[in-house]
Amino acid sequence: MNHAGGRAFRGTELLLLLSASAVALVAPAPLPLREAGRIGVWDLAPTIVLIGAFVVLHFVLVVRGRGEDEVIAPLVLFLTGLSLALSRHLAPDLADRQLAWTILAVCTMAVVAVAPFDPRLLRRYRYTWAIAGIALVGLTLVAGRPGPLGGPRLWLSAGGLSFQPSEALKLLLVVFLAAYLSERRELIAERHLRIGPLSAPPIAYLAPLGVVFGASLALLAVQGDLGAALLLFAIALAMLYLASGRAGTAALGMVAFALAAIVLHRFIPIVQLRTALWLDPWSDPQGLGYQSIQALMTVGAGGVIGTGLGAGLGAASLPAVHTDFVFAAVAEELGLAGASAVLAAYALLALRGLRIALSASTPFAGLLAAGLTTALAIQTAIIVGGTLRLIPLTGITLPFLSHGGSSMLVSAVSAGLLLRISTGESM
Amino acid sequence: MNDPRFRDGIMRLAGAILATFALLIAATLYWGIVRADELAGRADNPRRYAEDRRIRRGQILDRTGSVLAHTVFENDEPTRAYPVPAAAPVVGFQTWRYGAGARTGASYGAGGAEAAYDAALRGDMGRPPVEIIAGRILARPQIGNDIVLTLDAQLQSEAFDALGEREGAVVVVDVADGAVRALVSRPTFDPAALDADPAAAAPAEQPLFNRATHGLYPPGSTWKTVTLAAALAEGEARADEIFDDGNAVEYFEGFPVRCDNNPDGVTSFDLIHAFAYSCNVTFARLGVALGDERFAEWGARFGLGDAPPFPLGAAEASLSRDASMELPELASAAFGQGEILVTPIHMALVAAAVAGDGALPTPYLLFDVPGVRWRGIADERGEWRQALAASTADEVRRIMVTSVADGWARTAMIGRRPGFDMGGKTGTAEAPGGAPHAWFIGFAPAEQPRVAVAVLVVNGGEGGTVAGPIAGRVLERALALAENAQASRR
Repeated sequence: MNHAGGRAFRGTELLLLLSASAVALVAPAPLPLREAGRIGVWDLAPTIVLIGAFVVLHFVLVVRGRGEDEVIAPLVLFLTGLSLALSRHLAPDLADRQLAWTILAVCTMAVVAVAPFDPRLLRRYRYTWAIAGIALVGLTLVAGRPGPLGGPRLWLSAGGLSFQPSEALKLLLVVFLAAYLSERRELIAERHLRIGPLSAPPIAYLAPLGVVFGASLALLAVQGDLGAALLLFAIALAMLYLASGRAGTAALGMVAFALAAIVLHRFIPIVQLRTALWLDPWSDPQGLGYQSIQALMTVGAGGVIGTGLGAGLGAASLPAVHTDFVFAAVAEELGLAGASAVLAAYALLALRGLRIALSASTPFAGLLAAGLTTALAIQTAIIVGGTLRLIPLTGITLPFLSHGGSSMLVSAVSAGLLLRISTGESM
Repeated sequence: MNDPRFRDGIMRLAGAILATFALLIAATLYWGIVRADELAGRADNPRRYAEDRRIRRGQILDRTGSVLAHTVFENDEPTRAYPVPAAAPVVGFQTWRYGAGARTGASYGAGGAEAAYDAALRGDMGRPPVEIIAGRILARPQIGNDIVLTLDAQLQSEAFDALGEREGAVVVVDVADGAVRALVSRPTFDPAALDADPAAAAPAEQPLFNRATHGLYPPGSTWKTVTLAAALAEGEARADEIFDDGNAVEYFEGFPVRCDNNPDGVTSFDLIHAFAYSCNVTFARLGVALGDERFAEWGARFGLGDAPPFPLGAAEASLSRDASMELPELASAAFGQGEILVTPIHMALVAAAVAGDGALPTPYLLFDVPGVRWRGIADERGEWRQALAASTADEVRRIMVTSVADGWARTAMIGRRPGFDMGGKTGTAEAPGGAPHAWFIGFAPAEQPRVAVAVLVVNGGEGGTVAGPIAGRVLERALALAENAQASRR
């Protein structure tokens, strides 16, 4: 994977980008056909702009010649291309805005991947990142406002732009954890406490970790953003497991999770509500169970090949279909086949990310790659699993597919960092 | 990073992630395929409604072109209208209105011909799949096909009125090919009202339960037709054979069978009149003479253990609850009691078999789909099973004609116009805890029959007095309508 410099012909990436482009170009076609009976150039313009951005990214990487992973960018094009086509149909008023965010995200991905900054800064200022993340979320307690769809006050806005700090917190905490755990991994791995068959790293070393995480989880729990809290907890657990290499750590984490779940269920009404709705949405189909049931009916309408993009009714009947429930729309319009392809894309992205972690130059880089990858995979699993009633429903975005600038930007930064780590650059 | 512990951790993590995504795909399959129909049928699912608005559903017509079901628009809202209420058990229902059902918790639904021929009515039939899918994606309006049923709306209404408010069924089929001309089940429902108030369909009288096709009842003495056919075919009796059964009480392993229907003072009669007087003793003797194996075999020839292949479905007739048939059960099965259970449509086919060439026809319902060549139309037709030789059938037919001329079945002729003749058999089937079921099966005209009928009045009383007049009235009307149709074609 390491290239000394000079140009590198990225054939695999080019081929995959062409395939993803084909999908991205076909996807938006049915909607104008349905509405106007023909396809104009303007109907495909957003997709062409997006493909253009990826072509630029490709050539930048070719010129830099550092040998970045060749699969990640095409996967991101596949998902964002689909996202653009879906947004024309699911949230037409917001589609242009989404296009702008997506292009910005691709540019950010390129900048993070190739810009001449010293990635060791990430490691050096780890506490700064953690405190900044928590501060941002804390700010929402004071100045937060409900998102476009109402709900908890999770958003910060300034100058007409809104931003969801919990997305940033997720990224900043992964960086912090990678730095903190890589520094202490020997200690964490070897000197451990034993509680029966379970073992845990020494408390002294875990304390800062606990403080940072406790603070973020508490903030999120107070705000009612359970999806983000669940995601952060899962990421921390996975990274602690990787750093210690001990299954006991993971088991202890599970126990802690179970205890936390019971406590949260006991004291926080929204947790009780979510759990009850998960177990039985059918008893109140027109009220509290409405969203979950409509989501399942949207999935159920897809069959094997789906209704075709632009033809799904989830767009009209399912609240938050363009954000939290975008997967239901995918399953309806592209069927089991399309939904499986999308899930396979995420799985492939995760496998590439883990592969990058394995060949990373330093423990920090390895843990960072693994953490970013785990974050993407777990976030996908939480929202898709919630949509499909495998787990209680918590509103978070589906990386690269859901509407929303913060999510798109943060996912792109993750992808950019993965590309950067894959060069073997010293971190 | 060449740390084996990290490497192992990453590998396990990769395994866990792959397993998770496999589970997500499995869950998509579960809701998207396995539970899809159930979800699609929910009243709060807006999809069906949207699809129904896109498609201009075809009409259901009777054989003469009368409209049985069509779509009308009120304020741009489609509603299905059913001009012939009597036809509800065949035409079925198609509920449309989104929201009304959602509040009551009832689900969308369709039944009868509306459900069975949905593909034709939607216009999907005979259309290339690519065109169907493209139409759906591009939201093109779609025109459904009209379908023509074998039913005759006037005959259906006549049978409906003849049965009156009583619980029961009337089925009329063409002897030649099994075309279902009328199929009445009461109590019935108003298919248009289901739309507004689905709960109305579920009172205790079970109006949605189709007694003609799915109600299983003991056939009573109408089953003597089958025992007669079997005994003649097997050479166990001749038509002119004399039986001195008029005063007898015969015991079959202690089970007493009486002959109490014969006219006063008539104690000796031939087999023809044993049938006409419906003498249980004679037929119990014939059943015992045949023995349980041959009796079961002949039952199977007439479709016991099988369901008539009716396009809307029908219940399976049965000979006995268990494998063994002791002597008392055999003796009583021979005159239609025992444990035999049949549906009214099945008995109409038995009548058609003896009125025709000995074959039970397949009861078909779809006469035509104008403008579409579809093999499903032809697939519905044909012979269900060859029960007996044409010569035996002819002999049984003549005995049934005598039964109307000289026997208890003469009640069917009350009020008939001169020149009308027919054959038939009454049945009065003991029903647990109530008045007996009144049965009548028959055909008309007497020579070269064209239509066959089965009438059942649940807990109605005597077959002769209750079911016979209904059968006669319906058969007469059926012939009159057939002649009119011929005249108008000429």
